Amino acid sequence: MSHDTSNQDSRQNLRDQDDVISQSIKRAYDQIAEEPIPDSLQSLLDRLKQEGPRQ
Amino acid sequence: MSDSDLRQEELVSHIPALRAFARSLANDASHADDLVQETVLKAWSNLGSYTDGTNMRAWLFTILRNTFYSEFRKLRREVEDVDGKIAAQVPDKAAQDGVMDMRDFERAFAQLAADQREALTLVGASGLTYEEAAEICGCAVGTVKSRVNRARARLAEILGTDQDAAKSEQPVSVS
Repeated sequence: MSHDTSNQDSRQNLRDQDDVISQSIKRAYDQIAEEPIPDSLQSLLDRLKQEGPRQ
Repeated sequence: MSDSDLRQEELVSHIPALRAFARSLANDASHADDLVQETVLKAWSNLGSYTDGTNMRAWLFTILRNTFYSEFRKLRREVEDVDGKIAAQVPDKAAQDGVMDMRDFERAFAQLAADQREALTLVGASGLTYEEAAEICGCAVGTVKSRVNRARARLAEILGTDQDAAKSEQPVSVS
């Protein structure tokens, strides 16, 4: 029936849309995570490593 | 290698994820990196109290989140946001054209409420479970699910991928 077909199409659209959004979220997240660590943060890490652990 | 060295090494390995999570909260790269620095400092100082075998990423995310909301509350007390300048910038509506442009997506993402961005990032991108995300956010699992649903619907609405879908609550397919 055309009504069923329409519902199926609608569900498929929602799944496709979910996929697009999920992929975009992951891509945006990965892009940021892959950026090089900024110099200021790297300097902080170097300093902390030199100072050693704080107990 | 001592336990302390291992913890430090693990902490450093989580910095990329911390930066991505910070960006989702702060919506501004410079502020996000400041948040990460603050988090690293706090975590480093408290590595002795970290329990080995527990989820360090969740622990770090919690520190970062608490730092962010603590700053946010302080700022809100100091500056009355009468004209909404502290609130997220509202960009032009993006068009959906088959393949989603990442800048369009980022602009749309920036329009979400902070709690929605946070939930979506934790569950949809960081790979945390709803339970872990709920613990980090200090709320119920159902609340996280609801925020993720609303965030996805709002994104669909902004991006115009499916206007009807935007009005309905959809099951969440991210894990």
